[in-house]
Parts: sequence; C-alpha cells; structure tokens
Amino acid sequence: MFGKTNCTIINKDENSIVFKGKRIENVYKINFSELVDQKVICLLSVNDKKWVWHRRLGHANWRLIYKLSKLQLVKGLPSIDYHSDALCGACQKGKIAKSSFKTKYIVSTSRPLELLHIDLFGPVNIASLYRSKYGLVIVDDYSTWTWVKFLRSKDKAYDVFSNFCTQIQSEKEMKILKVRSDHGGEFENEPFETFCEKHGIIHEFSSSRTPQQNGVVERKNRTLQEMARTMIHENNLAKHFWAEAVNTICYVQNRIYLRPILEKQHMNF
Amino acid sequence: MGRRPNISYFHQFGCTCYILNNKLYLKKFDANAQRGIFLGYSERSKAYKVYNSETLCVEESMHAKFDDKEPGNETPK
Repeated sequence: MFGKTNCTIINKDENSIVFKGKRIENVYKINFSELVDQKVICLLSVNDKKWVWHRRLGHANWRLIYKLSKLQLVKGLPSIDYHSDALCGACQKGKIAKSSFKTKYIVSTSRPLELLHIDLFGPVNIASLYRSKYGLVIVDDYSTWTWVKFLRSKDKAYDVFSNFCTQIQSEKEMKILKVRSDHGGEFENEPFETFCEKHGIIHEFSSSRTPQQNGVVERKNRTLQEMARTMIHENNLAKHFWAEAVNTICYVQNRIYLRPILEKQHMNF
Repeated sequence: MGRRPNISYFHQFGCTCYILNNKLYLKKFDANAQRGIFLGYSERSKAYKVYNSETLCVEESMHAKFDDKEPGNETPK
C-alpha cells in the first residue's frame, strides 16, 4: 500500500507487515538496517540479471561472459556469477550440434559370439563373377573375427544370416546372444525378428541416422573395401573380381589384425 | 559381481529437452532443434525416448540436450 508520506508492504496470506518505507521526494525508501532482526530472505534475484546480460550480448557463451566480467575487459558489465546450469531455449534452437562419440577403452564382451555387428555394403556397380552385388559383413565383438557373405540382392540377407547363425552356433557350440545392426530394411523386418525371437537372440539397433554407433562394422567395411580396391588396381585386374579380393582381404585381416585396445592379435577362435 | 552400471546419462523424467533435427534438410537459418519432453531410455539402442512437442510424436534420438534443474524453475524463454 502506498500512501502520501509512506508505504507498507503487506504479506497477503498472513496479513502481516513485511516492510515499512518512507517517501522521500518521489521514491519510497526502505531502511534495511532496521530490518536485521526480521526474517528477510530474498529481495531481488540476481539470476534475472545474468539472463538479461546473456541476451544483451547476443546469447554469447557463458564462459566468454564470465571471462569478460572476471578480467574486467569491458566497462559496464556487472560482476556477478555468470554460470548457468539451466539451458537457454533459444541458444539450443540455434546452436545445438550432434553429440560426440567417445572411444571405448575396454572390451565389453567376455566370450566369442556374445555380440555380433552386422552391416551390408553395396550395391557395387559391377556384379562379381557369381553375379553378387552386395556384401554382408559380420564382425564378432570379442575376437573381431570377420565373415563376409556375398548376396545377389538385399532380400537374401535374411536367408544368408539365418544359415550363418545355425552353422556357426553348431560349429562353435556357443550361442549368439546379441546382434547389432542399423535400421536398414534388410535387418528390420518381420522374418528377421521372428528368427531372432525363436533363437533367443537380442536384436539391437543403432540410433537412426547415426552410423557412428555401428562403428565396429562400418570401419571394417572401409578396411575391406579400401584394401580390395588397392589390390585390384595394383594388378590392373578386371573389376568383377572384387568379391574375390574382398574375400582374400577378409581372410588375411582375420590373421593379421591388431586390436588397438589390447595391442595383440585375435584371441584364438 | 558384474560390472558397475553407468548412470551418467540419466535425466529427470518429464524435463524439457531440445532435439537436434537431423531428419529434414535444414536451410541456413532454420532452427536446428525442436522442443520436447523427456520420456525415458530406449531399450534396443543407445538413445533417449522423447516426445517432440512440435511434431507431436514420440521418437528416439540420441542428439538431445536436457534441461536438468529443479522442477518448477522455469527457464527464461
């Protein structure tokens, strides 16, 4: 309540007087030194001020504003705590970037065939000797042993993979626990899901449009294709020998590949 | 004893988040992110389940930023 000579601020819930102030010219002044015995917790949040400055400086980085104020490089910037754990909505809309993908320094699996990474490469514009155009790459996470299967078309991926599964499981007498792939139509379909359910395989996916999460097999793909290309061009071979070259490289890589984390070759498989 | 679980990626349920729009081709001055609400974690991939308040559908994305602070403390818009 504001009167001609003084003002009182009243707490509505409790009907108690919080402050009393005197009018001096056109300003109501409150003497805070008299209020020491009363419970005065917060008068004005400094929080708002930092947001105002954040916006005034064109949504500049918090660290930059903090440095400017700490080292007093500009005049007129109040020295308050320029740290914020809250996100600025406008900043996110304008500046958000993809999240980073950190390298792993541990082997997360404990036995062969626990986790398989699968991916398809192709179509190769020249069909191989057996008229295949696609390559299905399967990498075991524990031993990084690789298998390459060649397909004439994408829809054969299911048949080839299911045959591979039954064959490798009986050969090694071990069960496949998990399979990881991207959201490709050749892996995310009904027969593939039913096959996985029947054999107790957990099918995991990398997030959509994020091949970085499928990195193990994507990197293997690159190695295989690069080395095959090198070999073909060195000997001036016809390009439809690509399947043979990839197959050879896969065979060689399985025997010479050094795992960066362990600095040693494959565990026996 | 198995491995100790990693919980560093946890976030408050229902908090505001901003999802990077990597589905559509964006022009130079289009907004990069869409506002959404955090709903949980995906079971089959390393991603968050979020409700996109602008397209009004639930999606899975890993490129999201979360507003983790006291609930009820509104961020200045």
